[in-house]
Amino acid sequence: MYKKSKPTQKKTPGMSALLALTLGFVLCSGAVAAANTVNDINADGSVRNANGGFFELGVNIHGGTQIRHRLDPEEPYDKLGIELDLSAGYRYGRLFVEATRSSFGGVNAGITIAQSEHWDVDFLLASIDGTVSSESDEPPPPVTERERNRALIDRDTLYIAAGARITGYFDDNIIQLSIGSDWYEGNGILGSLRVGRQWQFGNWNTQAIAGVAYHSPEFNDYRFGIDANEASERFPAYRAGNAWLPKVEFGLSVPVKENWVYTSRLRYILLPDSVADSPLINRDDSLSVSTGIYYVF
Amino acid sequence: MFSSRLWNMPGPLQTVVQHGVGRMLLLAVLRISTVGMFIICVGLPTQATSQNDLMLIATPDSCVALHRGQQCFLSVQLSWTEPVDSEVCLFAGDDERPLLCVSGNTQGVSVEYASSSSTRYSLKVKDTTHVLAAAMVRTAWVYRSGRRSSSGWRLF
Repeated sequence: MYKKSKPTQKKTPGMSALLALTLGFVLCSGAVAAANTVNDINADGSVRNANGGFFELGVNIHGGTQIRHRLDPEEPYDKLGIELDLSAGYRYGRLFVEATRSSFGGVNAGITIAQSEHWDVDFLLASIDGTVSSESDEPPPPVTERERNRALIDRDTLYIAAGARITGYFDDNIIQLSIGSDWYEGNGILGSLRVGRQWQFGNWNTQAIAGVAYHSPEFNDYRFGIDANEASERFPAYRAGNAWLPKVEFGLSVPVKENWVYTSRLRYILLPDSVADSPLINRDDSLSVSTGIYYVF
Repeated sequence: MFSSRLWNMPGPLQTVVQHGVGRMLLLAVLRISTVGMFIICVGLPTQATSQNDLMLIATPDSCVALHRGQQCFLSVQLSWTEPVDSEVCLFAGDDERPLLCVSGNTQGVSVEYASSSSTRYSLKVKDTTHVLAAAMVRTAWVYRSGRRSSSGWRLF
């Protein structure tokens, strides 16, 4: 509902965008030097980044524990629900847009600036995740304790980052390093390092991804900090430092028919003290499971 | 059905049909034709019993894997439409070694399909090269653009 107030060191979006673009170009230029010239053909003759896309729509059942406190303390933290899930991606030349349903995904738009036999170097124009309220950016200030609590629990978590991403493909293994700076409201830097592997057992495909996400102090404070002027009795002021969040994901998929896939996923995130100590957070880890069926267009 | 079509036909043919003698002649011709066609139709299965029309049927005839290029695995039932007098062998692709040989009266076997593209199964009389019948099983993929396109993390 509300954006986290930032009384100190408030950057303008223009400055943040400039910082993000500079960061992306500096990182990309180094990576380009390491990669070979652009080459769309893999060593085995297959086309790695061919034009085209995918679109899939599904229904899944998901369950897990809420890491954020609820407005009503009596409300259960365990959740089970059914949701529509959409995943899509499109590439044209070097331009790409992708929205994957992996917990490490989010929405990304960017340009592949270099490619070698095993490596892709992407410049991310927008890496988007989080939630944003459809209500006004400037709502009336909360007055009562409950209003202040609601404002803290429902506040925006959206970021739009620009930066660089380097991905290595080695048979059924993928390694990826990415870093970006939020230019939506200048809320700091986030990055990730992750490794994934896929195995095929008959027509079943299993997948494991392990990685760690990095939140700069400014970004972590945007997500989990509480400023003095927005604090309540239940949620006192808290200043969050930087954070490293280990994550793992296991999944399996099997084709049901030519356009139908059944997929299940298990995700686990360990929350470091700088996150778990936030008054907004009620536990020090997160576990979620989802299972669903998807139609691939 | 034939006559109702004729009544609706415009032009000279309808004119002839609407006259008494012409109409009787035409109906007689139609009846003879209908009986003739029935005889021909009844006779067709007899022709199919010859080994020239023997058919090999794969059920199912397609296998679905997740990603383009992946091998697909499936139990396929191969059956032939008519019994064969001699022992027959099933071959996969260009393989010179048979998958199995059975009595021609068996008329059906189960084989394990494993391919990233397709496999042509052929039925031959044992110790001959003459193909009695053949059937194709194909691999299809849900994600046809390849696992690396669009998003590296879309591993499945």
